[in-house]
Amino acid sequence: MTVTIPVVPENAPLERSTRRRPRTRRSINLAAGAVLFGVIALVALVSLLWTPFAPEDTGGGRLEPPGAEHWAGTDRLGRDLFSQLMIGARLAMAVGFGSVVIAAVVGITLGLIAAVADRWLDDTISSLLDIAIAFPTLLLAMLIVAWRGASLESAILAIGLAGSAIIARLTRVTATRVLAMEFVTASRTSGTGVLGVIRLHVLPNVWPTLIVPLALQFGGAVVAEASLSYLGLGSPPPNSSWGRMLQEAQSTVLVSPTAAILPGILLVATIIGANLLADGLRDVADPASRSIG
Amino acid sequence: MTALLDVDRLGVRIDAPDAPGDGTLVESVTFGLEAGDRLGIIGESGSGKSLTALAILGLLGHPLRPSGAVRIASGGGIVDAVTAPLRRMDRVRGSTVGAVFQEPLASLDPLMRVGKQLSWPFAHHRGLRGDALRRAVLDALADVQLAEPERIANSYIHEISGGQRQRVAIALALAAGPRLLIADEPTTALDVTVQAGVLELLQREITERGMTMIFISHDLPVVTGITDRVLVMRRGRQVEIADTRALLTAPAEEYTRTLVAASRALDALLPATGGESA
Repeated sequence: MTVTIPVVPENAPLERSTRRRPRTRRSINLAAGAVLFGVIALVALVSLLWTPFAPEDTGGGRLEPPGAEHWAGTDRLGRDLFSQLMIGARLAMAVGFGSVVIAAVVGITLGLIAAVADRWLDDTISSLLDIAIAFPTLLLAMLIVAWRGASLESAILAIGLAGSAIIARLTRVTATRVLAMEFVTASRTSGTGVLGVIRLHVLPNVWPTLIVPLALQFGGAVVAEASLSYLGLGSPPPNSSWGRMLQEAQSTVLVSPTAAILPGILLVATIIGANLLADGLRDVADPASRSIG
Repeated sequence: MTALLDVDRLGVRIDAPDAPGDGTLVESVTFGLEAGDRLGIIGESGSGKSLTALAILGLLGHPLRPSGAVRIASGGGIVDAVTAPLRRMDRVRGSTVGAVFQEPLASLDPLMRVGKQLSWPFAHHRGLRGDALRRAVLDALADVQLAEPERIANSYIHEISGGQRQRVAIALALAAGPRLLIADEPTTALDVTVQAGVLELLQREITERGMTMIFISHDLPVVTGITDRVLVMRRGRQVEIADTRALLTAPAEEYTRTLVAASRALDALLPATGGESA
């Protein structure tokens, strides 16, 4: 799920103090991630109001190369690829945000319950989470799609639930650690109840640990949706997911390679952007590490 | 005067299959406190002092189980910390019993500004909001003799010193106006000069507010300096309980005699380290 790429070209000469390098690199990460991610998010927003052609408009010639009228060419049914790519950006954003929100809400809730609950409930939740984690994301997603039918909502729900298991595990471990801290005892001695402790102390202390994995899940969710759509289990037409565009372009890749290359490039750009952003967020989330860094 | 706290054969055992022995950690601790009393609890590490404190606060978590009774006079009624439901104890803590712990760095939330942490008990127990709340927080910080309360309120705890942190912790414990303060080794983590300041502050607050105090420490001179009765604990058992003066002049138990003698020996040694005379 994690895409590791040698990120930014190292501008700084090697002799430069190695102590300062991480911080510079991180802020470059954050900036580069924000730009990549921002452009795609902007395209997604614009697609809500305007696309050059309607996605189901088959008025163009078949498999046209990029040109003045169809900026990215057309597919074999004569539909405008640029419009489809824009709508694909919207789907990617919807899936990314939707599934991350589901993963966060479900995962954090389960994790907190397990951390606070009696031993038996904790054990039950933890075992279930282990099973969920052992399942490959895509297989779990396919099960949910099989149950609910292929739609955008099914994909978001499936990917979100698949991601929530790891978030729940992480929340449980971190929350247990926070609950054992003396400041929680101290806070309880001044009358804070269990819910108060969770709201005041546990959530703020767990959040910095969760924000990076959650942001990383954004990229993972976009890939998972593309895979589902590639397999024909994603959102149905005219919602053109990048994954489905790839699948449709597969048979004609030698005649019109742009139809396969462009969605691929956008997928990679979105995921790299999300991951760079996740990396940069780590600093912002934790005031303690900020003051040391 | 009515009893504020009545600890009756308090025991703590650890409820785990692999616990050593029968898992008893504290056994038959019995004492009573009336308003204004200052009790010291003294004993070596692992003697059950802190467990006793946590049991009085009703904060023993799994796998620790209390037994006996801890009757606290709170809000016109009597609450037993051993058997009371969680929510009932949440109301007792803070308003009737407050506590200061050993390590101020650990007993304050690292991700919350001091001001926000301190504002919680004022908002929760006294229902203060907005400007009144802000003023109460700054007053509380000034009351524990912190210069620049504004700056301290806006700081995270890693930005202030150990002595300042312990003063903040004391302000936090006093915020809801408890009648009983449990101070669990509040000066152990501080260096000697800071220690004196914090002790003096504790004593002043207790006197001014007419509070009752349980002061836990392994340092006999510190305990005898600010309490009028002392409970000696060893290996989870109550060795003896006596007035401070009586304990120092005529300790009844062998273990207490050793403690007092060791303390005296140390005292005798101290001036000698400066000069040559024995």
